[in-house]
Amino acid sequence: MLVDAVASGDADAFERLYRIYEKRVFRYILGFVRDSALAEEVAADTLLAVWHGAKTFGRSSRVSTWILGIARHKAIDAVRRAARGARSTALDEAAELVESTPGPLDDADARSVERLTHRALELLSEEHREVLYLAFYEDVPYEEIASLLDVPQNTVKTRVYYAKRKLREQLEHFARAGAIA
Amino acid sequence: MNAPGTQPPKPHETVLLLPWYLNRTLAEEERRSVEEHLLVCGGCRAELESTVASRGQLRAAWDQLPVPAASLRDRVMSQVRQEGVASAGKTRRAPSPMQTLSEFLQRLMQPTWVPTAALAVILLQAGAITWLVQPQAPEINTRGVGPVAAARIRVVFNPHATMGEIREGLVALGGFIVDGPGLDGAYVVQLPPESPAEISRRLRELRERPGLVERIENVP
Repeated sequence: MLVDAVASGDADAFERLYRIYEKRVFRYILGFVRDSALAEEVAADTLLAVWHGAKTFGRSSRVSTWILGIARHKAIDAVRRAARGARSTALDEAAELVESTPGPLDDADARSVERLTHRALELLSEEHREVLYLAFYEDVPYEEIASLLDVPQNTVKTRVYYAKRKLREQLEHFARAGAIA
Repeated sequence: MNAPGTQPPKPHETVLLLPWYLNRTLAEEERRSVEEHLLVCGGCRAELESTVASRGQLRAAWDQLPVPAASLRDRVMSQVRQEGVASAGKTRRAPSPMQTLSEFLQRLMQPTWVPTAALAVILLQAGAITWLVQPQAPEINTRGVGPVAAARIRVVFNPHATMGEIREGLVALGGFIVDGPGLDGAYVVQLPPESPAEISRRLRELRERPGLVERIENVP
């Protein structure tokens, strides 16, 4: 198993593991920190923690869930640190987000489904975005999502269901706004 | 979802399982139960179609997210390889009583990346005591051009940093804790008598240690 080689201090094995997970870890962290430069810093911290802590991997979950757990913990720390120094900035950004919410689809880019999906995701709560990402993009079993988020399994199932519903409603709202235009 | 035209008070269990039916992580028994239900429930089949569409849409959107810079990998791998070389080149010495205590505390911290905040505080304080009673950090590098008078800084460590990580960082810096923690959790660290350039380099390295330092300030 790759993680065993990493635990034994094999740097080449770690580089292979790094290449497998760098994008996934970075994108998951980006969902929390919303800033590419900071997401890179946190991703580096996460992957170094994997290197240093591979011996502690308990095999009670998949390797990917273990790594995402470290990423989550570090991303939340980074968000808290950033929030302490920038509460007013967060308010400004929230105002900007409201401003950038599409009205009638008034620019060509906004017609792209991906772009609209991103906009709809922005309007979801962080916890809804996160469970959608874990279930639909990372393909994490619900039992492991529950353990990662430290919530009951039924909470994970219903949270994904309502997150998906809210996303759909938001996309329908955009579509209606586009049709009116 | 069972009877057409009625709204169930909460979503049907099968509907709740559809995301994991699609990502193929359901246990065999659950998968079979979902499939059997889908055969007889049009509402759940419609929900499955909608979930397939949402999943495809979300994956396409997330595929467009940026990727980390290639330089990040170079930086991380360079640190990993350096650490490998450093640990391979380490000579074994009989541990001092302080090292023994530190190693004992480190073992208590396993797994090291999820200590409780309370334990971290206790260990930080234990660490401060070991450093306070240690007459001189054994790894202090006394090389350097134009030594300057020793100065002090205030350091706030990451609450999740382990005693071992803190000790390693301080040894690499060549400094030791002389006071703290203050009300804001800061420790006062005595810097070694090195040139400003050397101190600056070591402080940069301390800052760059992953998950170790939250803040460094000058002591006025």
